[in-house]
Amino acid sequence: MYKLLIVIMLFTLASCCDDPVLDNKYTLTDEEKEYVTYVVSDTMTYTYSNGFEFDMRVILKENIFIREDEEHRYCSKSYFIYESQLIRIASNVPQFQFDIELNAEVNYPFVKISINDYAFPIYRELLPEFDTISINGNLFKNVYSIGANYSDTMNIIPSGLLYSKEDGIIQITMSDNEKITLKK
Amino acid sequence: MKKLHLKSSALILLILLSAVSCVDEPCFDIAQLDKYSEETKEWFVNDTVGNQQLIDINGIKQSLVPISSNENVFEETIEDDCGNTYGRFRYQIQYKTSITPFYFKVNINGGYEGDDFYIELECVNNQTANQIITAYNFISKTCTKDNAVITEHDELEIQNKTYYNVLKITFNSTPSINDIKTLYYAKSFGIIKFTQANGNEYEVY
Repeated sequence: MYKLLIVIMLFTLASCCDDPVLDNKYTLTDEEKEYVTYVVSDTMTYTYSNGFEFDMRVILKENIFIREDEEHRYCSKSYFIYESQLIRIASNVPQFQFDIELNAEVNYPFVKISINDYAFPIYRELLPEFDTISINGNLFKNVYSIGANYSDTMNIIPSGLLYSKEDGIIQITMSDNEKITLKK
Repeated sequence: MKKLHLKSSALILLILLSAVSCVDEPCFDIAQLDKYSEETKEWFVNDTVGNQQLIDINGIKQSLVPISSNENVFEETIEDDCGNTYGRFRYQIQYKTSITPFYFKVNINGGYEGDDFYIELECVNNQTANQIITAYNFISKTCTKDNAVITEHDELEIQNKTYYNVLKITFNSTPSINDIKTLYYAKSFGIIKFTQANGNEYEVY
């Protein structure tokens, strides 16, 4: 009987949690949104190192709010929401899918570019590596250079990426030094 | 008189039922099962076969990455009326491609009946979220599902290399043009080639 009482008390305590309250709401500013200028149905041509050209198309651009609860041992008292924009670029032959996430909350990579399973984050404090860079005769401005944090030497994987606000993904360098480059 | 007739009928029925349940199951042909097991295990991927590089029809290169492989010998065994026991086994290997969204799972099974010796192949396109599974029985040499045609080839040359004992799996239909249409699996080597319904081909080199 005594044990039953304790169990009931524990259940009662567990149900004592108040609903967490919304603490903060982080939305993407217009200035932040300028980091990804892709529009749905935009089509870009890319060139592989051997000269093969293929088109990639923006198939998704959507904004959602993601909830994060404050960490607490028993009851979370508050939570915040942040705006996240997902942009998906895809091709059929070869079948590639590049995802770009733009996050409004300060603790997350500001922009995260994913090539299949391999992620390339751009943090808020990162400055463009190049004011201007010429690739295959095309000039690109304010270009971020992002390296991969993968130590895989057995496989051909993306190992570096060039990105700009104006042109998006400019170039992907593979670990075998082959490149996939935006054709302007 | 009628009652006596009913009783005798019931008795005959009981005797017949007992007789049926007394039929001896044939004993395991251990030599045959050992042969099936040995031949089936030849389809496992050799430990010396590591990561493979792939090239598609346009010259784009990437990797075919084995993400896990293991062999399980199940503790469950069956004992026949002659006191012989025989168990089942399963070998599994999983792959993914490094920059395209493909995932493959291959199970190679063995056991104590002809139907137990088969290979099961699963292809997933993570972009379309479509999954196709088919299977091939090594004893009857037939596809055991109606979604594919599977043929066994003595040899096949890919990228100037000859592979022996190759299964060619052709799926009858694909939900999307980007899904896998054909898959080639070589004995002791694993996946060596696959094609998409859109015409692109990927070969190990």
